[in-house]
Amino acid sequence: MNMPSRGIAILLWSADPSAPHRLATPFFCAAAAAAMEAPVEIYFTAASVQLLKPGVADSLRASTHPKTILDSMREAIGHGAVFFACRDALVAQGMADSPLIPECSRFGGAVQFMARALDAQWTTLVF
Amino acid sequence: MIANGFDFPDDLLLLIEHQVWARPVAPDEAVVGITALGLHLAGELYMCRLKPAGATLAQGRGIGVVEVAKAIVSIKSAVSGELLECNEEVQQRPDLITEDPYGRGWLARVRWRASERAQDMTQLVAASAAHDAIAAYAATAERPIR
Repeated sequence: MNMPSRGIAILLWSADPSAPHRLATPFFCAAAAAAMEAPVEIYFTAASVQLLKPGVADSLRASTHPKTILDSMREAIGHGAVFFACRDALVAQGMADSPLIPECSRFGGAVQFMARALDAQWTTLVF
Repeated sequence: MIANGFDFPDDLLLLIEHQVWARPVAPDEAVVGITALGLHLAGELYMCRLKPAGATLAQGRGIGVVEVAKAIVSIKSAVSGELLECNEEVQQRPDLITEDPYGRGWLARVRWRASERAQDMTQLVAASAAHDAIAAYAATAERPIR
């Protein structure tokens, strides 16, 4: 657990609003890693960028637990995780000119994520 | 000392903001853990994972992580220094932390040198004198306190 230079990069690909039951796990994992003081980056791609549209994540729950997906996202942010939105995915999802939730202010996609995948100091996960 | 219905043994030093404690056990060693109030606020504890022996700790920074009901909580260290030993038993049986937070539920043993102690003491409060500070902290807690 004492890995000060090792980070976790998570790619959200199939975790999108069409399958809410899958949505808590990636953010829970991100929160756990960030709480262990690892740098954590979450890359939203494909339809997962819809979670960055105001009102979407706040209306979704992975189970009957009262915690929303936005709550889970904020928990990950609270521990230090950073969100990146894929610009191509935003265009594909018709969100190119849409405001995003304030929790996401950075943009990044395949190049940034693959740079992490090629970096021995980072571990990558895909959901 | 009892504050807000929770026990705080008089031999403890408290980092009230993070509800963690330190118990000096030798001139340059302390044992650390989570207060009963802190555990109540966190909720049911499912898992505990601590940094390994040899890790450098800073007061108020993470010493480990606990998983509670649908949430991850970073446990802060009450003191600065070198982590000498983790309580392996609580990593296998996290319920011990809640069951006996000041005894078998201890988290780690820390080398607490004089230089670090002097700095850390500016933020620590002796449990015997912490009643009002704990009451003030409890008043701002999000979860109802008995």
